[in-house]
Order: sequence, then structure tokens, then C-alpha cells
Amino acid sequence: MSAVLRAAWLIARKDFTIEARSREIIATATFFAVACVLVFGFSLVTEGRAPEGVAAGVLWIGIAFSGTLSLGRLFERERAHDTLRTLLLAPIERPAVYLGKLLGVIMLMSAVGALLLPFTGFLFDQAVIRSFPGLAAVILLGITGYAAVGTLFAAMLGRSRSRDVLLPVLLYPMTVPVLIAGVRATSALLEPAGSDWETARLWIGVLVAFDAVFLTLALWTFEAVMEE
Amino acid sequence: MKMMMNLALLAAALMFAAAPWMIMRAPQEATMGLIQKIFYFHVPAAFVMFITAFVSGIAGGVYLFRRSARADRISAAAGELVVIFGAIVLLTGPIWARKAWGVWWQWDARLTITLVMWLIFVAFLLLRKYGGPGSETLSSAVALFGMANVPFVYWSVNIWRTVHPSTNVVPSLQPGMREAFWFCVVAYLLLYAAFLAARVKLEEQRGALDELHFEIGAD
Amino acid sequence: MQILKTAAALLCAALAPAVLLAQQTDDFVPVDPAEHGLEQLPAAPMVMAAYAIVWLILIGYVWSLRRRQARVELEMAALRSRINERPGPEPRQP
Repeated sequence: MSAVLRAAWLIARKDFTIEARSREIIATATFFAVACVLVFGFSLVTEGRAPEGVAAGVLWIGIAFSGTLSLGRLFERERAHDTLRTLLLAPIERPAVYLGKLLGVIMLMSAVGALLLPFTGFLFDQAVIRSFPGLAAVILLGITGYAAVGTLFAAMLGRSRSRDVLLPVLLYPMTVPVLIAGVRATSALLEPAGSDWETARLWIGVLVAFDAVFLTLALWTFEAVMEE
Repeated sequence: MKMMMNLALLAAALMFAAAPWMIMRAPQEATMGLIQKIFYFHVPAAFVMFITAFVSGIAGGVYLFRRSARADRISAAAGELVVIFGAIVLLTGPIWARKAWGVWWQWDARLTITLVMWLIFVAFLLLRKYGGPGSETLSSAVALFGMANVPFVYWSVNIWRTVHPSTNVVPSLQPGMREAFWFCVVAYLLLYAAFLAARVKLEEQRGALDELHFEIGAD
Repeated sequence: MQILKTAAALLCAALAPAVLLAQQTDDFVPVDPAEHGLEQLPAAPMVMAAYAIVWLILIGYVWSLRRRQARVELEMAALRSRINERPGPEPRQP
């Protein structure tokens, strides 16, 4: 078990080092997310005011859209140098490869989310600071579920044609529960009258269950899926 | 097998032809009136859609772990049928809704999950068609994940208010309505069996064709 | 195979009473038009349209299956004749 985790950590660290040097994905994904938020802002704001309760939705759309972008780029990098095959051939457990990539995706998406949350709160006048720990937990749980499915699909699509379009086509319907639960929990926490913890807890429960089930399912199927 | 398939198709066709009479004869529903008759071919289609989604998901799982070509064929065939029967559900539903609720679409649990499932299996077909080599494995995983997703979508959407007639409607159907309904369910199931068998056969022939191509290429 | 046949036989047996039962139900229940006077949308064409959609989709699917099947068979025949023409290994009979 610890060997698996160690290998996973090494793979994640490798991705982190590459990213820390070029900052390619983080920069593009963050600005893509910012652009998304702005587009939604322009399409929703009327007479200088955003309609109530859209901030959470806009935030999650930004996370989901930039998430597909990061996933695509992260695996494109592996594909360009055919390093995913090398990783799969390495004498480590296959699930370790999945876990390592997943860790990398979660780190990337969390970095984007960490920037996006204050930005959305700032633009849509939301009480982000008041409920920050709760929001951070919700976003992290949502990103984990999204990345758990996304990493498996992006890894599988590595070999196929038209992967750029197929990834969102497969991923968005599959992660509908994450999106619904994330948005509901976030808007419950951002209630202007004070955080509605009861509702938020309910949705956090949905997120935890989704994460657990799909993480297990992805770990279980990864080896079979990646067989050539 | 071919004879059984044709028999099932014939039976289903006859039953579908007879269904309008059954449906006409069934008593009218008190509050919704005539429009409730859509129920008789909307709900069985939804039944079949979920059955075939589970067939596709389970066959996908079997393919992933056992690598049986047959399981892959069944998964592909059943996945395509999800889209066909889902289209029936999603097109007849709004017509009923327009009359009964006054809107074409409601963001209700059952409607949303049907749409999401339909989208997942459309993605499944797109992947199989445009994914290139290796897409069988990937699409099996998609079918498996899609199946696992059903309770989550249902659960998450269900916490919103639901307006759809509940599934309790089915066991409590009035006589007259009940027979017509189960008649339609059986008609749909027969049709499903025939379609599935035909589609699996097509996939088998395609496999044989690929083998032949391979042989020619090999000499 | 045997199971399938038995299942089909059972289905037919189960269906017969259903058809009979349905015919025993009351005739059309007349509905007071005044009760439904408020309804603006005509229900009958909508039911008919929905039914037509079902038929269209199903027939369309049967048609597409037939077409794909025919194409595969055509290609198969062409390939077989090509294999038979050339000398070499025995042609395979699937």
C-alpha cells in the first residue's frame, strides 16, 4: 500500500515539477476560467446587478470548464512524448499511475479554484470570507469527484482520435451530480442571511458519496481500461 | 435464433398495431383526460430504456474484466438502444407535460435523469464511432460509469421538488388501464429483445468482416 | 434456445387473457365537455403526434438496422469473392 502511495506521490511530484517550471497549464487554465466567469457575468448581469444566486453556478462552471482544459493539457503532455506508456510499463502498480495523475489534476484544479473563488466573490459581491472553510471543503470535494472521473476518461482517451471534443462530451453528463451538489452547497454557504449549514451538509454528503464510489470504481477499472 | 428474432419482431409489431385499440378502450383519467393516454407508450419506453442501460453497463463491466467479445457486442447494442428508447421517452414526455403541466420541460428528477442518461449514452455512441482504435474498452467503462451514475443523478436531482407522477402510479392502476399498460410493456419488451438480438448480430457480422479484412491484409 | 422458446410460449399464454380482459372493460367513459371546457390545447392531436413519433422512431431504427446489415453483407460478399479469386489458403466459411 505504501509503495503504491509513494509511487503515486512521485508521479504527482513529477507533474508538479514540470508545471512549476513552465506554468503553462496553470496560467492558461486560470485565465480561461476568468474568461468564463466574465462571459457569464456579461450574459447574466442586467442594469449593473447580477441576479441573485448565480454566483455559485458561475463559479462551478468556471471550475468545470477549466478542469476539462487542464485534464486535456496534462494528458496531452504525456502523449506528446509517449511517457504515459512508459509510466504504465514501469514496475509499479497500475493504480499508482492513476492516483499520481489524479493528485496532479486535483492540485491544478485546486489552484485554479483558489483564484476563482475570491474573483467570483469579488465580482458578484458574495460573502466568501465569512464561510471560507466550508467553501474550501466543498470545492475540494467537488474537484476530487470531477477529477476522479476526469482522470480516468482523459487517460483512456489518450490514444483515441478527437479526444479534445470527446472528453467534455463524456465528462459533463457524467459529473452532473458533482455540479448540482457543488452549486447547491456553495449557494447554501453563500446565503446573504448567513450560511445554511443544514442544506450544505446534505449536499456535502452527496459529494462525499460520489467521490468514494467513483474513486473506487476508477481505481478498480483503471488497470483493465489501460490494457492495450 | 433468426426465426425467434423475426417472431419477436412480428409479435411486437402486431402488439404495437393493436395497442391503439387497447389504449382507446382504457378508461380516461379523471384529471388529465385524454392526454394521459401517452402514459401507455411513454412509461414502457422508459422501463426499457433503463433496462437496456443496465444491460449495457453490466455487459461493459464483463467486457472490461473478461475481454469477451460477446459482452462488448451486447454492450454496444444495448447502448444504442438506450438512445433509441430514450428518444421516445424524451419526445413523448414533453408533449404530455405541455398539456398536463403547461410547460414542455420541468427540471424534475425523473426527467433530468432520463436526459442525463440519454446524453451519457449518446456520448457512448460518439466515442464508439469517432474514438478510433481502442474505443471498445473506453466505451465499456463509460457504460459502466453511466450505470453507476444513475443513483447519484437521481438522488441529487430528487432533493429538488418533484412534480412527476410517482412510480406508485403503476401498481395502483385501475382495471382497464392496467391491462392496456402491461400489454404495452410486453410489446416494448418483445421489441427490445428483437432489436437487441438484431443489433448484436450486426455487430457479430461486423466482427467477422473485420477478421476477413485482417486475413486479406495478412496474406 | 429452449429457454427462449419456453419464455415466448409463456409470454403468449400470459398475453391472451390480457387481451380478453381488456375487451371486457367498459366502453368509452363519456366525459362531460363542460368539465374540460377550460382546456385550451386539443389533447387528441397531441396524443396522436406522440404515438406517431414513437412509430417513426421505431420504423426509422428498423430501417437503419436493415441498411447497415445490407451494407455489411454486401461488403462481406465482395471480400469473399476476392478471397476466392486469389490462389492461396482455403477460403474461410464462417
